Amino acid sequence: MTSKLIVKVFQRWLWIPCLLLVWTLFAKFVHLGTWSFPSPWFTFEKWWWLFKNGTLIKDIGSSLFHVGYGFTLSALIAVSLGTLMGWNRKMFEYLNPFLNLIRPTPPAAWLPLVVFVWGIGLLPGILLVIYGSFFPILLNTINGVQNVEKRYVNAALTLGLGKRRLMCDIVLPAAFPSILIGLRMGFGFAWMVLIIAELIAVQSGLGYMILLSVTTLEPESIIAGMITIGVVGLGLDQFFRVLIDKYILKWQKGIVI
Amino acid sequence: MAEGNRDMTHSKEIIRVTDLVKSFPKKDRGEPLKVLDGIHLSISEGEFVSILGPSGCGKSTFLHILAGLDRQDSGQVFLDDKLITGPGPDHTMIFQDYSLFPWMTVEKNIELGLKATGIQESERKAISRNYIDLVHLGGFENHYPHELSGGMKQRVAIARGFALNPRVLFMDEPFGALDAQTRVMLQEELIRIFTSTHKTIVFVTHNVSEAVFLSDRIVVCTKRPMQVKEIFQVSIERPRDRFGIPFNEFCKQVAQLLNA
Repeated sequence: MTSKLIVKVFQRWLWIPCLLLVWTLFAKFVHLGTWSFPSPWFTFEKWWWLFKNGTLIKDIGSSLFHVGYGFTLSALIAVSLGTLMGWNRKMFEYLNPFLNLIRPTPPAAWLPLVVFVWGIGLLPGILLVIYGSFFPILLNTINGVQNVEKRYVNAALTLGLGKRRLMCDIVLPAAFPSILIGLRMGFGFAWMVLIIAELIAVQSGLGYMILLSVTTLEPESIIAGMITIGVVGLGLDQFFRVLIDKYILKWQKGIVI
Repeated sequence: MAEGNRDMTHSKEIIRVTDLVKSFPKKDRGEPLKVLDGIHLSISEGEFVSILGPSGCGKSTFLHILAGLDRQDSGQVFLDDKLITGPGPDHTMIFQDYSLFPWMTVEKNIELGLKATGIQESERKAISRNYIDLVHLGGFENHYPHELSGGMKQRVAIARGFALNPRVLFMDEPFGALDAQTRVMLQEELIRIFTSTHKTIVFVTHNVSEAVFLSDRIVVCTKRPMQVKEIFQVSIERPRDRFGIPFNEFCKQVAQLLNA
């Protein structure tokens, strides 16, 4: 039992010493002009310093606020619109061609226009987050609602459910697994798009911090910032994973039969 | 058939079906497939009627039209002299695949229809508890459907249907997906509930002994397009002995007609 556990822990964490070794060697032998590549130790020292003096917390807070703001708005709009389009065939036929047309334009391509119109600040960042997370949520919601099994709807109708109850008690719960998957994907995109936006259109947050570190010639801060972005992103994704597991596993076995 | 039995003396007519016709369009634009070919039927209150026909004869479509889940091309279905134009809680249905909502517990599944009709929570709880006991599922109130066996799921569906206190209950091969033993057990429970509630039940099946065991009357149907071949009055006294001679003689008679 215990030896199995040790093997498992070993498999899981072996990459860390390996990475540190490669990184250390890289830092030792690679020189960037007059600069040497920051070593792991130096980077973590810097990270700790940034953490202690509060700038890192402030940047994380700012990024989380923007991504939370934009994502919440996006989720509200996309789930409502997706439900409407999934349930109402006409709505779908009218809106789908238009949405298909703008969908292939990546969020980054909207950046210049958004900055041109609204300048640099809170609004462009949030707008891009909304756009970036909108489609995965919308498409998964439409898909979820369109694929609600007919037998559930029939059963609900013979039980006397009206339109509103049918929507709230049957259609949305039945589509919920699909919607949650959309939300999780959408959040991944939101986080990615926010960091890109912060490099150009927003003057705060983790993305802005790593960009600033370029101009202040602190490569160790860039790497510290990148690691933070990764860890925070992972943490948020895990949050969604746990939510999905907790909510869905209770009954999803019943759907597959 | 066409007289409609308007003059029934002992009990009131609850359902009347007149000249029901239904076709399905074919995918390759050929002739539409005729499923129901002019069906007349009258069912009186408190009666257990089985619709017995070969697989694929259209009896399930027939029941779906009666329940308001499908539309006929022509003909009419009356419930208490009112046209049935859509599904509703006073003529609810129990399905072969149970159709329980997997995201709701047993209790919530049973209470949903009551909630929709506007019954208060305390009363809902009391009703659902009552019907959970009636189908012997006490202790499973807070279980989810995937934690139950097929037989238990169908018990929940039966409780859900009866809890609505409908005028008539439609049952579409409700025991078709169950193993033989569970099937027999549920037939016996259904009869017990039927005799204690006096609900009108219209029951679709292709199983002869099931129909004979359960029904007051058996409507034997033809192959597609479905027509009423003959109606049997089952006069064997309840509880019916499946191994007794009258039961088996009756089954034989019905089976011979069904397969003729």
